[in-house]
Amino acid sequence: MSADYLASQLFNGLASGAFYALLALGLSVIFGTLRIINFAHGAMYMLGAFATYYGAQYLHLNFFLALILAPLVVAVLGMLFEVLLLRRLQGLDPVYGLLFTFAATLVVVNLMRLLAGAMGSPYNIPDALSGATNLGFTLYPTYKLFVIVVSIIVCVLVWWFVERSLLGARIRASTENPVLVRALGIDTPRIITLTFGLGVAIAALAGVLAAPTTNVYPSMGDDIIIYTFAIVVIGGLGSITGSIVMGFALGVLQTLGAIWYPPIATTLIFIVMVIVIALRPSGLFGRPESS
Amino acid sequence: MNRATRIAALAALVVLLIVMPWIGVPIPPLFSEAMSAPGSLNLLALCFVFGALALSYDIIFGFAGLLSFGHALYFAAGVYVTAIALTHWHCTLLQAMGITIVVALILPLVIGAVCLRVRDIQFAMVTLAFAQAGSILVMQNPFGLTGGEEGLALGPSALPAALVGVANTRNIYWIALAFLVLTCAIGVWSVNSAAGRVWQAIRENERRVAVIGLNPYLYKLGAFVLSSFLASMAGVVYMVVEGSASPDVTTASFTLVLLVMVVLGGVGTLWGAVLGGIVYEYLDFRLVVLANASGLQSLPAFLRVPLSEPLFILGVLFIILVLFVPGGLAGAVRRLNPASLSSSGSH
Repeated sequence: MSADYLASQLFNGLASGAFYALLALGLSVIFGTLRIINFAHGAMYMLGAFATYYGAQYLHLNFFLALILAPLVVAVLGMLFEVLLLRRLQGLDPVYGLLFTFAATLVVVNLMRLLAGAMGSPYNIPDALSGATNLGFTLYPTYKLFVIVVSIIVCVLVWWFVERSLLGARIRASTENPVLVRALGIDTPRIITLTFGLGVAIAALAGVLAAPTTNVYPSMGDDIIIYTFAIVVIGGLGSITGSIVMGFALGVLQTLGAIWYPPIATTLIFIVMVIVIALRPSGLFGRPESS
Repeated sequence: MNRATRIAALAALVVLLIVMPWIGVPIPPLFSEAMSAPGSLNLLALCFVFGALALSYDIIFGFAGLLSFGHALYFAAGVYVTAIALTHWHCTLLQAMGITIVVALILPLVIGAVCLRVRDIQFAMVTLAFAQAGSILVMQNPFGLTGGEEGLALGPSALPAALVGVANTRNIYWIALAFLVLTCAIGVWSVNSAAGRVWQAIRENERRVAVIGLNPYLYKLGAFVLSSFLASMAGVVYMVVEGSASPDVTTASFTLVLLVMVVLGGVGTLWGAVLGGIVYEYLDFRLVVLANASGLQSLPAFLRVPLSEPLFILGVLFIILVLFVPGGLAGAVRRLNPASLSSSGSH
């Protein structure tokens, strides 16, 4: 096995890790404020891809505009979902949020099947990003490089926004002590809605990026969301850094594992999850429970 | 009703169900054939299996307060291990049951031991991940064992002659009925046992249980293994009734179906769960028949088409349950708590 081959597989791993990282990041942002694990995250990802596809089909929307517009459209849908439905679950055990969003996923995915059919449709890689780029040691598909770069930029921006900015501080404060934050004149329900919108937008962005790499089909989010759950548990529930780092790391591990023994690709993440839970239940980047 | 009349009523009901295959009465709107007809008996047998399955889920969810999002895995394990032993390994039904029992004890013991290291929402996510791994495994059709998307169907010689053929439907019916009665007995006994009281205490306040010197982890593991074991046994009986395994029973949607059954009947009440399972399975079966027959065809397309997607209906049903059962599901648990505690105390 040549070093060049390994290096290009490493990039493949980063490219699939890019989707895990974006989805896990969005889940963590939402969990951080709403204390809900959003099962519908996979459906939002799927909707992002469909928004891109339909945008191109009916409005001749180009890919780069879709990269901005599709997440906005899906985020608006997500915020409506939060205001109209999810908000009613406040005060209930968080597991009901998981179940509720799972039920919502069934509704959305099956509606999309009726609209678009189960098989879905292809979406071409935009001309500007097709072909390959010379990385010095190997020729590598330009589009995959683009995915890696965009997701790293988005991850860093979101990390900075939540962990370092003033608005991010308000978001975190609204979770810690909503009553006090409201007393300081900050509109906490609006902050929660906007944060949910942010998390959804990141999922939809991952969907836009995925559109040219796979067929756009209604159940495209069903499998990836459960891998993302495992990654969030491995990284530590609620840890933004953990989600990003483990998203990329497990993408790489999965790809490299598949070189060694191909069938393991589908289960390797779950195996890592078992080991991490056994050794450190709070996750690699999570704070241990104070009990 | 005092205890004696309740037991008498229950015994009368069981006797009535036992003699059902000899009673030719038709119940026209509910069943399309007479009660003694194979079609009706087969539907009742399926309902019994799902009643028992819902009860098994209620033990872990309603009594121990643990949301296992992977209960489908243990039912599917029962279904598939039995099917594989019967078709690929050419075991007799008893041998297949023996193998399934071993798997049904070891599988939840190992998975539970790992999953119970985390709690609440993470427990739900981790049990879901395990169930998903199982689902992927079944779909991948390792060594041609599971049949992948196609599933597995039993050949005519796989089961004992007494369980094959339309004429023998009544034997299958009695097996399902006996299984339901046995499961109910185990369920009632277990939640009223000393361990069952501890499960309910853990549901209410785990830390207090730990403070009085009990180990919540071991009790939770016990509840997890018992509940999953009963689910696997329901899988065995399902295989006998249905004669085929489909990967549908491995999915997260299937776990949600179980949850809807339990919630329909009332979380934390065993009888409620059994009734919920029976009613749900009955409706699921009969509504499809009714929908194809007439009714639906006259609806406009925008209503008719979504209603033909069972998972769409399941999703909507669950959303409505969560929003309109006052205080959500948790509220339902809480409201039922005093009742379930006092009724279990009076047994």
